[in-house]
Amino acid sequence: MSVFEQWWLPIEAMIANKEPLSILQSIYKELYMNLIRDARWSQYLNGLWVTLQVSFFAILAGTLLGAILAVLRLPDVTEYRYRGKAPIKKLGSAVLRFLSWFAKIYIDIVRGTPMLLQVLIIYYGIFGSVRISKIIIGVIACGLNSAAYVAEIIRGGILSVDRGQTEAGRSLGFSGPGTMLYIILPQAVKSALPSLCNEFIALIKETSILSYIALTELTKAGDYIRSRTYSAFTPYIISGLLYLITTLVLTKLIGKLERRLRNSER
Amino acid sequence: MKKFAALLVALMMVLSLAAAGAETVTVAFNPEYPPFEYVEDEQFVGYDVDLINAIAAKAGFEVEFEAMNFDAVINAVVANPDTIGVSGISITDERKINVDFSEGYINAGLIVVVKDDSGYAVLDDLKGKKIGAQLGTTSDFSAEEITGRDNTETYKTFLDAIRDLQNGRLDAVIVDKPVGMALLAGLGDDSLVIVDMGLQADWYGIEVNKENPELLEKINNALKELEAEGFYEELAVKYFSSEEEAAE
Repeated sequence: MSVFEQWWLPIEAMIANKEPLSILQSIYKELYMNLIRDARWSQYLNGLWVTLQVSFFAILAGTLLGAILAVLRLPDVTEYRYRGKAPIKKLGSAVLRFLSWFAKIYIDIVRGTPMLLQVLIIYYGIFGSVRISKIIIGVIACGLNSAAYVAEIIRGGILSVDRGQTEAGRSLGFSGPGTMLYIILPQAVKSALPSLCNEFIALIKETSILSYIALTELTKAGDYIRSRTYSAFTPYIISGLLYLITTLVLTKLIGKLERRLRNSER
Repeated sequence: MKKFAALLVALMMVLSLAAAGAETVTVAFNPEYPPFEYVEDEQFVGYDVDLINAIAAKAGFEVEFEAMNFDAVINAVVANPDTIGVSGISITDERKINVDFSEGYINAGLIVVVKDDSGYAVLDDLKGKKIGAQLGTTSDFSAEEITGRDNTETYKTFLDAIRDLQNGRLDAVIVDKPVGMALLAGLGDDSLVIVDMGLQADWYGIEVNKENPELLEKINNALKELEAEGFYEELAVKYFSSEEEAAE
């Protein structure tokens, strides 16, 4: 018998006899039932692991897709019209304008509808009869959602880079896309980093919505334990602390990255 | 300022008058669980609703229904001594540590919903298969026993689980017998069949705050009287008339 059980047995007897518990005993009761009994702590860790996996890949996918959407929404693209005679280039400019229109519609729809509905539609509708892991569905749902927000953040970053930077890049012989990729985007991301950090934190917390599609992430792990112990809120506090630790670590890491990037300014 | 004070005094008088009336008990429940509790013509109806109304009439308190999610019911009960949970809630030993339960009032048994062409007929067929259930119900506990925790998928509602069974993500869904019968009848999906594998359910009990033993006693006494009067059989005939077994 472990030491935890030895502490628990007298408390269990007191509850059975309807004796009042002291505050310390009540706290121990909650911790024992929601954390120690049946090795429940491991379920929070499993949930945390799922949350971390989903968040990591969703942030990755969301940032990549978001950057593409951001570029498509730039005035250079939305207002670009090839006026020459070459038919291929004419077609190219039409395609580009279509993509830019699509990006705008996409951002409007994703930002304008609740993420919970998006997740449910993707899970029960689009992937209704497709057998892929729920984690992948989660990554797709969260990534697609985050992309819309990231796109606007990065677009703001790009617009904050002085026009002279583009002119300098072009006059140094970079192509249009090359100037964007090597000169403008790095600076844009740097100035957008604090807002991006905000979005990443929001994304990590929003993965809790995935509990609606029966994915056992951190919130669901708390729900699960709560359905067994009938504690009113202790499992949520434990899950909440794990979210807090995760976001604090992320904030710290991005803060470090920010300082690193600023070093290049000197 | 004077007007405001007068208003305040009037308000307090009204409030104290309201408090002086018969004791009001709030019933926390999730009315998405036919035939135990559901909404019909914008009214709460069902087995549990009739039962608690009969108990209230016997014990002399008034009831006020408050609809919420199934997993919110426990919070409502733990936070308010005069709130009880009546929502097809299974009595388990572990739950008794945090709330009190009345005597069990029904044990309706569990059924398994599978696809017509699956051929699952006995419990052993389900070992290692993906089984879905509503989180925190006796079906959920039962699924875990059969197929293990990793193969049990738990949903917010029974219908979500059925959706995934239809989509082929699950091999079977376990649910309370009357609930499964009622909801599937409404769904009208011929590809799903109900199999009785003889699964035992937990007893349903009324959830009462630990600080209100008087209320618990009143409810238990009323339950005893109602049982002696044959009220359970009446309810069974009213709500499970399509299945003779449940009337037992």
